[in-house]
Amino acid sequence: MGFFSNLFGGNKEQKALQEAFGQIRKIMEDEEFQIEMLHPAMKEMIKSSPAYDRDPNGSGPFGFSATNPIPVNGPIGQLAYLSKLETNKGERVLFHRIGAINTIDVFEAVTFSGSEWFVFFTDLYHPRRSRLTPDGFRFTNDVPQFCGFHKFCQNFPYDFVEMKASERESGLSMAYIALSKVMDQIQNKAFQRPLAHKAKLDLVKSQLTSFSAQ
Amino acid sequence: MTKAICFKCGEEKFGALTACKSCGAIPKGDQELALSLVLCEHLSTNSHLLSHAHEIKNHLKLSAPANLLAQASEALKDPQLMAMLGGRSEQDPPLAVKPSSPPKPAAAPRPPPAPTSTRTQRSIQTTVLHKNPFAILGITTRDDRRKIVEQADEKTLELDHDVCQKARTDLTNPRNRLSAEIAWLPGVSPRKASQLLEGLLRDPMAIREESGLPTLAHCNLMAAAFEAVNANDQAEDVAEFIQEMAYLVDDLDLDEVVRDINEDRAVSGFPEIKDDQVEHEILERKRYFRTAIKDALNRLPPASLLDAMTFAVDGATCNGEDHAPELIDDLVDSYAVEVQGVLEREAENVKKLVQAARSSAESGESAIKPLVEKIEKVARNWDRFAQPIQLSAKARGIDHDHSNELAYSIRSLAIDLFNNHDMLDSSKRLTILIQELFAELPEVVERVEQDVDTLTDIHSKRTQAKAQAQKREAEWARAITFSADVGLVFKDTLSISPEGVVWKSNRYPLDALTAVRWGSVRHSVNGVPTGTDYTIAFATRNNSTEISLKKESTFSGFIDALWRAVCVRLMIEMGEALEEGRSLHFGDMLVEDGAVTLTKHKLLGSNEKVRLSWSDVHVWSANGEFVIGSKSDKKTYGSASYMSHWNTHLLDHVVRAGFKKGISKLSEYFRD
Repeated sequence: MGFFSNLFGGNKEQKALQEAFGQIRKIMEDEEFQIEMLHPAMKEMIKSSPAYDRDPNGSGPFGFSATNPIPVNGPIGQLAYLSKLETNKGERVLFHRIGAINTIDVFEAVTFSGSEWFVFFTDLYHPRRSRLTPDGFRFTNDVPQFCGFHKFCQNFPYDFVEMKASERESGLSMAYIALSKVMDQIQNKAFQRPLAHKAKLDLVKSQLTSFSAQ
Repeated sequence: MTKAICFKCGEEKFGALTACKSCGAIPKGDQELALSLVLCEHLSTNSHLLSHAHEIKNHLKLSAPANLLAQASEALKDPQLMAMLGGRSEQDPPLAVKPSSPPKPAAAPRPPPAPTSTRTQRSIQTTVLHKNPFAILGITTRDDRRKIVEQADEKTLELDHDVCQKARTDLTNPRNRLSAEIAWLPGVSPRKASQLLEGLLRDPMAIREESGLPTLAHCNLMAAAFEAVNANDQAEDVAEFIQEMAYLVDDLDLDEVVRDINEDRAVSGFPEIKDDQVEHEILERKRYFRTAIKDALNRLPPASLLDAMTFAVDGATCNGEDHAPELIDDLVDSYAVEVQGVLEREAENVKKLVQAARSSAESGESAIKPLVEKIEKVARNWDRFAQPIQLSAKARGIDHDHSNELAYSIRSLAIDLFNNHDMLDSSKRLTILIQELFAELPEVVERVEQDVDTLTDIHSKRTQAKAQAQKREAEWARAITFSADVGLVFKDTLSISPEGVVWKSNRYPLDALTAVRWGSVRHSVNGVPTGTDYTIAFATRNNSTEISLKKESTFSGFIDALWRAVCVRLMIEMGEALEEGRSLHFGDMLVEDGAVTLTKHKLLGSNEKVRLSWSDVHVWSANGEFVIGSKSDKKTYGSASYMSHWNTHLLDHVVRAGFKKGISKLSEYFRD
């Protein structure tokens, strides 16, 4: 097989790979596709909700307060949005869902280096994700591969490897970041919750109306 | 959720900054919020939380360490946390929090103690301070010799002559005068001294709230106030009083005392005194303070006395974590001497019970339980007496030998009960008891924590193993259970289950089966299949049973179950028999562990037996028979019918699987 055939996708394996990458990109970025992946009932609910960047009636700091959650398009939209976030210092975050306060999902997050911890509030019943970021954050220019879970991680974030493996069934595991990006920090036990963050978690947990086994 | 203590009522709650379900209090303001963070398990150990809860519930001063409060205050600067708290983080009035860990500067002003609800006002007739020569003669430290003599003469009219003369001598003799000065109110103005003495009789405990007094004078007044402690006082309040006194005594400054006395002596015309003279007197004074406290404690009921001692040491050492003031250490040492007899007696009782438990262990856990209960009761009583000593020893970084000895004696029993008698429950109960009673002994705590972990782990593994065994048993039961009706018109039930094989109302326990065979014969007429007959047979030591079947599904279902339920065991038994050197007959073959004896078939003459090792033979199946033949001689072979000869299927399985494994002896197949 010649050089040009490779270049133009003549190679079968290459073609399959490109298709796979295309699919991953759709999972990560295509809002329509993310909604299509959902259960029909939820799909309807999401499509019928308003699309906006922030709740016009919201109060409190955007994304950091249950009364001013980040609008996103369903659970995969949550993964996509939070995976695109990076701090103003350029650090992306690992995250997991710790529960919900009524319809508002609560996520705990930590920077890849373990230097900062956050609690995010998201509202997943919207047809598209917000174009705004919480204070101190911006959208990353990296390929926004998923770096968190919309379920509770018992040993967050040290169980990232196991949790990523558990996403194989959902077909999302291939959309996740490479383990090499966080393995050093996990092995070095770099993730220690500071006191302020623990206090925040206590406050949030006291308000949760639904939560995973904790 | 995070365990926490309400800053207001001391009840347990979950989450440091959440509302208290008992009293409804929500921490507001920087100080309440910081304190609440300290009062949770993020910053305090469980024992500290218990101690803080006790302090709050009894309105004692909170011994929240300053470094933790600083950490908490730092955490409260987090913007998101502030946002979550909304308007709760604002300045609030100061709380009565006494940092316990940082060393106290000698002359640092102490925050005034919070008034406690348990303190009652009472009056007393006199105190030792009122019997001081200065008080008896009604003179001041600035009065000269002439005034002392005049006043002594004048007082003789209203008081006992000898008392007045002694007071005069004490105040005019330089050596005795110093003792009287040290026991008086040095540095206090005559007018103030008079007021304080009056106030001491009217409301002795009010002196605890006084501030701005010279330290020695304050100590003397406090010591006098201890004379007002009586049996009705609450242990917590007495404990707090002791701590206040102890901190005050720690503040005593030799230079300050010398300066105050010499200032007055300069006016009264007595010669100045030197440091070393005062130092000796202060030592004597400290002994007096200790005696005053001991006397006060001895006026309490026994239970209150123990509690007061424990609370005082607990509070002063922050649950054994910090050094206590010297007076507390002295008090504990003196207490230890006095309770030594009780501790030894109770320790002896525990040891006797431990011995009795050890002797009764052979009789089982039911015999041990009452003894374990008694050990717990006596050990708890022992601990009530030992607690102040343990706390003090922990704070001083020394071992309390009696506690160590007793803890290890109980631990040894716990270990023996588990190791030698497998009594997990009693062992765990004793281990938890040690953990609770001897929490102040770091080495014991460390070892017992390991014990608890180990026992918990064993308990959990046992539970898991039991569950897994039950699960496996259930799975096995399911796998070996099969039942079908046999016969077209008159039906008989053929079944197999953990209870055994049932055929025609006869039950054959699985363990009683010693041999099995089965097979099928296809029939055809002129090449046209006309059906298959299936045969299953099994034998016990006494008889055998053969069953004929027509249905393939019944045959295969039963054989599947029979294989798991019986054949596996029979193969293992076969392997054991061969390993023991026995030989087994299968058809015309004689099977041994390392060899098989086959028949060399001769066209002329009689056949002869040939013994070959397993590496010299190969196997195959033909015409419903399992055949073993020599690799080098086609005419040397032996066979056994699957359907007619017992256990041929088992031999087939073991030989073929063994060959795959590359064994030289059949019994090797059963090894890992």
